[in-house]
Amino acid sequence: MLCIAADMLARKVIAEETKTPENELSFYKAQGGKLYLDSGDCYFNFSHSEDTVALALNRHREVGIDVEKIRKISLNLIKRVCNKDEIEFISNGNGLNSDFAEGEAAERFFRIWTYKEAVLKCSGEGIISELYNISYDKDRCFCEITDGYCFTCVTAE
Amino acid sequence: MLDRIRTIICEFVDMDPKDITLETNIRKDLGLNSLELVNLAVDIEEEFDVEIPDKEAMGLETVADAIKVIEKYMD
Repeated sequence: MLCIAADMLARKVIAEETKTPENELSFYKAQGGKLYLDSGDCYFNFSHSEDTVALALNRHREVGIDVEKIRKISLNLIKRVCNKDEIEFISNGNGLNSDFAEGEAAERFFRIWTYKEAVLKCSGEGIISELYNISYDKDRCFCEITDGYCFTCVTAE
Repeated sequence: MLDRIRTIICEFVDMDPKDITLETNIRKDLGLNSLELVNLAVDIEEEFDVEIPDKEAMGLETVADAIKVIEKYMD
């Protein structure tokens, strides 16, 4: 159901932005699975998590967005996807001492995770190297935490 | 091996293990997103003592694919 909601949101917003009737919008899927407008009038990307949908749209540049509900995360997963500097950032310099990250530490993990996902989705290439090789750059993204969700958006440089 | 994978999957989704077959699609039938897929890979790696590259973990489609990947990386 949420995929359908994301699709409907994308169509509505793209139609308004490009001043094109919704039923005249046509899309194609590139090799990496990313959707594009046939007309090329704008770039877009969407994401969904639980009951939330997010859409990013940019007239001139590739864009990627990811949204995730913030929840406790296992240390094994953090070590799997994060490099040393990112683990340091998540632990806030205190080290991760339990099996899970919760609260603010979990928020910091999701800032990193949604950034990596947004970068991958922006490129449209899918995973081409290990996730820990995509280094978190807080100055390269727009990130917002609200209502228990973390939203991160990146645009191509 | 299928039974062990069913046990791991049922930690993520509330379903009867018997409903998980080789053809079960991990994203579409189980509703797992990318993070949950990587989390599943972490648990599979721990269970079977293997290391699965992220590209292959996130490219898994069916339970049968997961078994093939595990067998590929087992000694």
